Amino acid sequence: MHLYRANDYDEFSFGAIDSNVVTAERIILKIMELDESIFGIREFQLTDTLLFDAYFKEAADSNMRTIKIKTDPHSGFNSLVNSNVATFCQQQNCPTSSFAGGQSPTKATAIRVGTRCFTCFDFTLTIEDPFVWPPDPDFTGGGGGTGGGGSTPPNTGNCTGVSTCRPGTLIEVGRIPCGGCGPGPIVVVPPDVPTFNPYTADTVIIDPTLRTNFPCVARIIDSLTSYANMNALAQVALKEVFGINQRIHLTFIADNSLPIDEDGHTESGNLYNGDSIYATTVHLNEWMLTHSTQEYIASTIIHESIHAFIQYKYQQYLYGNIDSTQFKTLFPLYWPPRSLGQANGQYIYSMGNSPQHTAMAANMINIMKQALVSLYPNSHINELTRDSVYKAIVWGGLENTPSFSVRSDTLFIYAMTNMARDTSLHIPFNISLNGTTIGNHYQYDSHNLSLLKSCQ
Amino acid sequence: MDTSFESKLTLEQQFFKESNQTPEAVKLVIAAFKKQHALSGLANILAKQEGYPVWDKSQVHINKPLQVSNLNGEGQNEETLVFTPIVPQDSNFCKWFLF
Repeated sequence: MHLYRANDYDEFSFGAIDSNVVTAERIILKIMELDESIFGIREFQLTDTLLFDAYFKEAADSNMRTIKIKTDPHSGFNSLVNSNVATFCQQQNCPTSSFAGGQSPTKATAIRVGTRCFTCFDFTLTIEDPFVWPPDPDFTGGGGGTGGGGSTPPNTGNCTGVSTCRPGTLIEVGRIPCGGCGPGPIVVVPPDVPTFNPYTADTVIIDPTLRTNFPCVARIIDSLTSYANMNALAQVALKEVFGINQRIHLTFIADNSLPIDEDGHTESGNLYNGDSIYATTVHLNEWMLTHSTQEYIASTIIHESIHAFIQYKYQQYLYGNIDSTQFKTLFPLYWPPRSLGQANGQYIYSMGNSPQHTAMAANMINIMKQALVSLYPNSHINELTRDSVYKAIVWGGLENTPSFSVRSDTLFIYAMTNMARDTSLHIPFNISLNGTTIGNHYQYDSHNLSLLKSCQ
Repeated sequence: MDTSFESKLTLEQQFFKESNQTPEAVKLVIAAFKKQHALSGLANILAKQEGYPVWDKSQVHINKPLQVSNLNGEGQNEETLVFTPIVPQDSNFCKWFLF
């Protein structure tokens, strides 16, 4: 019985995967294979440029090399070899204008990931029979190639090999293998379950009702400055507020059936199990899309996306993936919602707008405002004015919350939401609340603030 | 998930834990490992310093018969290869493997 440590790899020769003795690459391939089998990890960053160097044709000045297994997940070592099974990627300076030496352009793929560029190649790892594990090289004879050689371990006490890192440590009767040295040669990069980056969220569905009839709104969602899309916007906001990353996939549609005073509506959505992506649909009122400023529309989308997030966490609670304590931690003012009864040993809660708005008003105003600032910097007005107007806009829909009721600027907030929601208003205009005039405003409208009028 | 049950296992129980799905070849390795552990406390050292075997994720391969014959002129038997990953506790990567 032998024990191979990942960080003992460099005691073996480098280079030949199909060598008739164990090589460093062979050990690393086995480690990668086991990582894939157990954890589904299919991407690895090499920290030792000697590893697989024959496959990387560029000079060894690369500071990042990755190997991506291309076969189907968990298909085993047999499919890891003998076909185009791996993509080797090497970071390069951007922009990539040429391909790595020795490779034809048809085989190389230049990839840009954020500010980094990679050149990637598909490779065949040929091992005649992957199930044959070759013998260790002769470490006592001084052979071993580039990194090989090793040294005879001290055979003292009850320990076989200590800091000398005897490779392929033989577990001898009555002796303990110990030691291991240096950092490991690979860093696992789990691409199948990547660390979710809300800033690069890429899944948002814009219904044809929006694409066709409200191209400007579609552009808002598609290409907002500083944010990838509205999913990212909502998720970034959620990350900032809750300190967590979650996958929420939203579909936006235009809806002409919503009451005129309801700017948006978010369906309860679907979560097929607690770990899956949560998907739901956000209905946007066509009247709002036609008559409101883009800032107001964006604020509505953020607002509805947060509803989606709360619904998502509630469904996770129902699935038992988070407990009531976690839920309470996320939404401290939201707890306890009104109980509607019990089913399957769990409380079913009232998940109406009111408690969700309470949570939003208490926790999210500033981040929602900041998102609008990022989206619409608006150089035509000074920052102080812009920030106060944007903060008022994001209060829209939260007027019935305890946090709102204690504010001293509620009339200003109503005025700003009125003018941002209806671009036909010019100063002076009546401040309206549920069809009733509650005051007048003389200072700002969407025109002198240079807010962006929506378009069709 | 009832993790409290798992935490009540002794180190040895956790280290040598097998299931109904554990292949016979792997069970033989576990038995051999237990003998080593009885002599040297091997499992304690590995578990505390490096991690635990994931026996059920072991890879079992039947190696080709070696081409050489033994002194009696008989072909050697097939060789069963068992690769068992060892994973540090609370991590998501394989650090060692047994063979």
